[in-house]
Amino acid sequence: MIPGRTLHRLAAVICSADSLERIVEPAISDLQNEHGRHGTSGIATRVWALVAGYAAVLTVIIICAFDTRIESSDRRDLQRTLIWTAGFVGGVVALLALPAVQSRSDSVTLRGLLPQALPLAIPIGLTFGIALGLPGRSISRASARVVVLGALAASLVSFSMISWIAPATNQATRDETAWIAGDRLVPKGPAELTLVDLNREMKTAAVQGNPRVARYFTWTFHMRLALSAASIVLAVLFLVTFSTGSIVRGVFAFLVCFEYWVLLYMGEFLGVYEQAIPALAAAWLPNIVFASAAALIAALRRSRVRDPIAVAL
Amino acid sequence: MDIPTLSTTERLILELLAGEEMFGLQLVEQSGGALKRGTVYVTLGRMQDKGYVESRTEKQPAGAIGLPRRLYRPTAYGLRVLEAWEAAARTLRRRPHLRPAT
Repeated sequence: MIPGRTLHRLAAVICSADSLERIVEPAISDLQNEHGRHGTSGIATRVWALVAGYAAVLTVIIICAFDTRIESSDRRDLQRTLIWTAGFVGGVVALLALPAVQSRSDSVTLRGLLPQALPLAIPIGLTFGIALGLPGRSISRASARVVVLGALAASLVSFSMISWIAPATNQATRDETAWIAGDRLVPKGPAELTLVDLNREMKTAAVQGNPRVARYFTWTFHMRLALSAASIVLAVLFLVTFSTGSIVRGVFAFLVCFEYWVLLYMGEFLGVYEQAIPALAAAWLPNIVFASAAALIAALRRSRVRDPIAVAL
Repeated sequence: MDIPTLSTTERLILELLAGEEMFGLQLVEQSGGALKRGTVYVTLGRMQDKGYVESRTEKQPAGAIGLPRRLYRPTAYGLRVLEAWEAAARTLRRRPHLRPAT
């Protein structure tokens, strides 16, 4: 067994060539050498040496991943991406909030709308931002790294919104509205349940022998996780797609977002109502489809690079 | 011309390397815990950028598997920076009136 080979492949993707050679590879080579030195030692010593070595290499890779020395042309592309993303996130939030604002425009309603709209607006905005902001030519590894880190941050924001903030503001809005109307406080509905609440409801419904309700809560729980991860999946998909003009990429972004929406509801139909697929798979269906598409496109591009004759033909 | 800086970690690394070439892991072991395994390679990379150390890959025997190890040694410039720092430290120790009042 030669330790560190998977980490080496991971570092080759995440880190710059310079960081890989000068910083990551010395750490991996020391790990491998230490593993060889401890070949005849006791199992506890060998395991401890491996754990310490892997932890050190992972630390090095994470530090190097954040070492983004961006060229000025890449900086302009990333700024353009950020502006398009912010514009589309704002536009989608406004579109989603418009019907509610038109019917009742008060601070209670507006406060409750933003946390609900953002988990949908963020992946849509990021998809269009990457499609329109990054150029049709191949982008640098440093830019790709910044985009992936940005998508990761966007996923974390979506996750916090959809898991805790949106349910809490929904319930606060309902309580305030009921108080204004002079009614007593209303109990939580599915949209007001946090992930912890959903997990509890899932298990309670299963124990009570209510499979359809259990499937619904399972689908809702995993749909929130999957929607949070949508930013990463769609960012990677657009980073590996073919290089074309921004109009084609914009149309492709629209089709991808529309298809994501269709797959989300198809998943709910198949997993909750038709019971054709497990509720967990149903919730993750859009991410599975687009992650598979990204992997296929990346593999096709790699095979074209390895076969220059095929490219020439 | 920028005045070269020398952090505590960089000074320790130069002092350890002044005696002999070492691998990153050897530096960690020789430092008695003062250097951390997760960050020593990043510090060595930075010191290479500053010109304080240089490195070479070890020649591997035929049939060896895994990546070749990297050996580090101080440059003449790095040793001069270390000497200058040590001279400044000696001066301040001999002349306490130069230190700020506490």
